[in-house]
Amino acid sequence: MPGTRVGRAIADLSVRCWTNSPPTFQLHSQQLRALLPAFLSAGVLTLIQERLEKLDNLSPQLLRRIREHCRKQSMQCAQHELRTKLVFQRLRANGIEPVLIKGWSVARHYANPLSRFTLDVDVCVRREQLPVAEQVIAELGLPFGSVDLHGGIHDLADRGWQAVFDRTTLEPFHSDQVRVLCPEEQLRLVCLHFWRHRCNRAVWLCDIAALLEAQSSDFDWNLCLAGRRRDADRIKAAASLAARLLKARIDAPWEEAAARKLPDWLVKSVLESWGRGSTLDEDRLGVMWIVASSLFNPLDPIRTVNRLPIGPYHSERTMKWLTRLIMPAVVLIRIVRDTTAPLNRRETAAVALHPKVVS
Amino acid sequence: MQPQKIEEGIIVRPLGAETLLMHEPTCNVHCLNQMAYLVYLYSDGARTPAEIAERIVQENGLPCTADAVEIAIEQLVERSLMHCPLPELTPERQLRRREVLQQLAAMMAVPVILSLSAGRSSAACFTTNEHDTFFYPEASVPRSVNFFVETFDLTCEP
Repeated sequence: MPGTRVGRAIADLSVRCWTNSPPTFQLHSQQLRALLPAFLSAGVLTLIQERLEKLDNLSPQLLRRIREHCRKQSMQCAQHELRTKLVFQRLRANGIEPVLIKGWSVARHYANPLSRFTLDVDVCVRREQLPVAEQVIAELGLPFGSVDLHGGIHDLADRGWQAVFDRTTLEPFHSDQVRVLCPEEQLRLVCLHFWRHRCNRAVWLCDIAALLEAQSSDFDWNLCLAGRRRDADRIKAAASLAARLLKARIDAPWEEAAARKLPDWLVKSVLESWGRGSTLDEDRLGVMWIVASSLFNPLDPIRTVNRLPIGPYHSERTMKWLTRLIMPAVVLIRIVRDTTAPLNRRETAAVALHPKVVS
Repeated sequence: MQPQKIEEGIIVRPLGAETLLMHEPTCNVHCLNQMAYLVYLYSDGARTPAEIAERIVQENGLPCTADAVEIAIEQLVERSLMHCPLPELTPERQLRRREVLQQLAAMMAVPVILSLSAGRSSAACFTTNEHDTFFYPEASVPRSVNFFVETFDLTCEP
């Protein structure tokens, strides 16, 4: 199936999957079997499992395979919850107050939090505390990759750690408390993260939709959108996309205007990127394939928006020219800069990753 | 033999027709089918396996025997979810157990527990200053459990 059609199928089947709403589609075993790899790499299979169970024309073998996969993912989510609690307890015992981003802090807005599969536990600490935090977590001996520790909050870097931290809230979590971002900054982070990863997983758009619908009446859109205009435009576009593709309900003063302006190229590119996962039969490889294909695809207009200081609200024609003419030049300049600089960014990152090895 | 379930440090979460037991101190997660969970639930340190089986039949209408309860207890004790002195596994008991499993499989009443243990590694975390990183955790369902489930063609539903 062509990528856009697969992407469209993912969107249709994921409509309002963060709620307990019943299925609004019919599907046959053969269709589902063809779509399964795409669902896996889009990260939505566990979210729509209950709906699939309610369909009466799917083969028991296929359902059993899906059930086994979803069970394993839910168990991993439960394990991540336990690890989150453990990490928070240990860091606090060492005088570090961490902030949880993504993971459970978003999953709690789903009807069934265990259905929102998370790959790891994302924990942010003040940048100066990063070496100590790293040591504390290393002593826990958790499996490689299960904790992603960040110095600062990358997607909210323009706001400063202290300002963001002051607005965080403590939420009850398994007879303890975890610190999470305020709803406005949570939505901002999730939207900008969605863009930074080239919009390539449907589950991230489900997160945006779930957060949009979890808003309270005092949600401050000014706080959420404050800052650079292009970031505000990206957030609006992501929210409109959630409304268009997943039927999320937005309660915002700019909603109608943003929905009208939502560019067609964006919808098409997002559906295409979701459809790319359908080419491989293994979820792990599927995700890698998506990452690899988007890394080496300089003609992706979403990548253009990410790399250039522009927002998403441009016509298809403008995006086409920007992508074909300016992006190759930008990529070339970066390659030259990275290869000629004495200590380039990659080496800096390597020092940050393995300080002991490098020193 | 009066099994006593361990409740301290255990978080119970429903997962469809199954139940998750999350063991906080070890970060291990166990998925119990209905039969295994009922055995865990009714093991209060005062009932024998036969009495537990009787209660399961009466209150839940599921086919259950004392042998099935004993198999569930063995699995629960192995996973540190229950206190109960287990009799030694002699060759005769092994043979008997195999027969019982076959009978239970026919009745669709096998207590099944799938476990996700917290793996240990020297490289504990991946720290990034500027970038998010994208990878899978190593944890997986133990191969022996998968082998058991596949061999006996058991699903977690009763």
